Amino acid sequence: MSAQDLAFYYLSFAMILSGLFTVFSRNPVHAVLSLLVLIVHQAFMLYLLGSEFLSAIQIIVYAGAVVVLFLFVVYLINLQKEARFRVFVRRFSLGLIFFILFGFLFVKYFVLIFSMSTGLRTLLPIDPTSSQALKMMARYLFTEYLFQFELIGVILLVVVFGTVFLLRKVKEERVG
Amino acid sequence: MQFQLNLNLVASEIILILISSLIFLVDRFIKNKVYAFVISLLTLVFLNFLIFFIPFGKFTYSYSVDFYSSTVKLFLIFGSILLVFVYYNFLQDYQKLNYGEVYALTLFSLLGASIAVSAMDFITLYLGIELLSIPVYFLIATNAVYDKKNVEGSLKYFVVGCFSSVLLWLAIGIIYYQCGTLEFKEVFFNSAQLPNKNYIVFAALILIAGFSIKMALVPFHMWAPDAYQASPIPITAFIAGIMKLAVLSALVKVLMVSFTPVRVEVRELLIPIVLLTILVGNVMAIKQDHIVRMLAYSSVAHAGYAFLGLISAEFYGYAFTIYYMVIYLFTTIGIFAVLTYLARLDQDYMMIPNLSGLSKALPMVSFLMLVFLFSLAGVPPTAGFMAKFYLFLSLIKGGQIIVAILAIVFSVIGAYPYLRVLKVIYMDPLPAEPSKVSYGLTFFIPSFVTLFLIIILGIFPDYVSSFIQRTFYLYLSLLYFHF
Repeated sequence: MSAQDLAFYYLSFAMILSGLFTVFSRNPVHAVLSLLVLIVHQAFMLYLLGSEFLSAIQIIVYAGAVVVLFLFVVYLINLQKEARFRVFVRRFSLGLIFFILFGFLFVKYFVLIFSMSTGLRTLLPIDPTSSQALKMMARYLFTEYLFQFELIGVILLVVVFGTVFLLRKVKEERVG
Repeated sequence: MQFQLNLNLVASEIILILISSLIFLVDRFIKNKVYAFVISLLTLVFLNFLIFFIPFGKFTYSYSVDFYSSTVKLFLIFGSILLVFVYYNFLQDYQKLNYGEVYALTLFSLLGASIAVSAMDFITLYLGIELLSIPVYFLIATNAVYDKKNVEGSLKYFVVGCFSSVLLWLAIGIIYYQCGTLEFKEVFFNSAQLPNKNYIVFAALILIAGFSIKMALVPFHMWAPDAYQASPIPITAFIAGIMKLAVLSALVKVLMVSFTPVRVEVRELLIPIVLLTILVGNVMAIKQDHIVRMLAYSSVAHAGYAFLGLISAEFYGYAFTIYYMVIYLFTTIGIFAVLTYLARLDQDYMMIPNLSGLSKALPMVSFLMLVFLFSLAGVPPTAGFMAKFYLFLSLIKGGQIIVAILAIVFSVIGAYPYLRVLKVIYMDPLPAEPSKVSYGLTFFIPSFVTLFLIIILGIFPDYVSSFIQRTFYLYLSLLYFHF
């Protein structure tokens, strides 16, 4: 096992653990901080795969901006009362039946896949470790994937519109 | 590599973006909200004609205008035209929701639907489905001005929708790992050459799981009743009718184009899901007292019926799936138009026992309810019967006789909830004469157009079903044999 493998296993284990902490911690500040840990580990994982640019973006945008915004929200509104634990789905037995049924299907194909011969290789169009990767990524983004790029802009626009609509001042209902 | 940037192809999308942004821009300055209704209605009617004049072609590999997407868009926009009337009718009495933004967010959602059905690329498909769902989360959450509990339904839907996105990305990742591409047709060519297709089947399983959250198929149907009950009634019709048609057509396109090499394995995956969906949806609908919850469970079951066409694994079965969903769309809009009228009369009418003896007070509304519920149950003179008949026919032709028999037995169970409502309306005594609200044109247009369509398509189903069949035939032949 090489050093790179060791680093991979450490990073994935830490990511899973901090993800579980994010979900299960009762205190919202702890949850946000575990999310930060998750994102930093994710950035290192991307660095390990050879894409320096994406790992820098991960740190700057997610760790630097998004998580800080979350912290602001948590500090600005006092969430202590809302943070109590509540059951999301009450019928556990029904869920268990479906879990077993679909778990069976998943396990069947997992076994089929891992019993297969090795040597499958990805057919990536770009080698992410090459020095040209960033240039190629920019070119793909503005030529072949132009439509998707614009579409993401529309989705963000809709989210802004919807938030403004949700927080409007409600007018009084006419009586009768 | 060459690709086209022909803006004529995306004209309808650009018009939708511009009009809905315009409504957002001017809404604060106009007191009378009728303007939003008029603008949306005119836009949708214009788009319905524009569909016939948009040329076929591709916009950067990932967006294609072809027979399939144009046909589905035609039904989506026609349904939205009828639905806008229901919106107007509802918002007259619910002034706290009466903002132009309600129409504008719906138009944005329709934009997402039309992108999802014309996507030729997994990323565009995913983004289209997100754009379809995000405005709906907001629309459900705004209903909190009437009851704070409605936020719960919206949040549940949002969390489950995020889970669906995660599953979709997992499937897309596996497909990219195996095929090295995300374009539907290239996925087909590359996966057909793979020596071992287990990865592709696994990806199809996860993809169907992701889609079945959006369609509320059985293991993931828990959000549906809460979200349906929490949302305003016309929005419920939008979720149940238009969203389901759009998501299902996108899934049919993916299965038809990309996953043809693993068609038989996908069929075996679908059989338990679909049979459980029909059974659970119908059985759970029996004991519901809230009529919207009852319709939510019945819409779970109807999504299951529509998937029966996919089990036949033949292209006529796929066409009948779309046909069934179109008929279900018309029926849903009709029944929710009637429910909107009842909700304007009195919010208590949403509970089924309170409907007793309605036929003596409101005979016309009761008759409309009768026809729509018969169509949902599948009683012969209505279109719902013919749609179910075609699906069972395609199953038997595909050699799945046991599945067909089980589905028919389950659909007999499914007739009970609808007949129970009709029994309460027609046979129970009338407690007191209710107050009346004038009907108005916005009630007559959606309910009578759908009534007309349901009865005509029940007697002459051939017009629409052969139209959809020919669309599929032309689409597939142009896709594979015309390079």
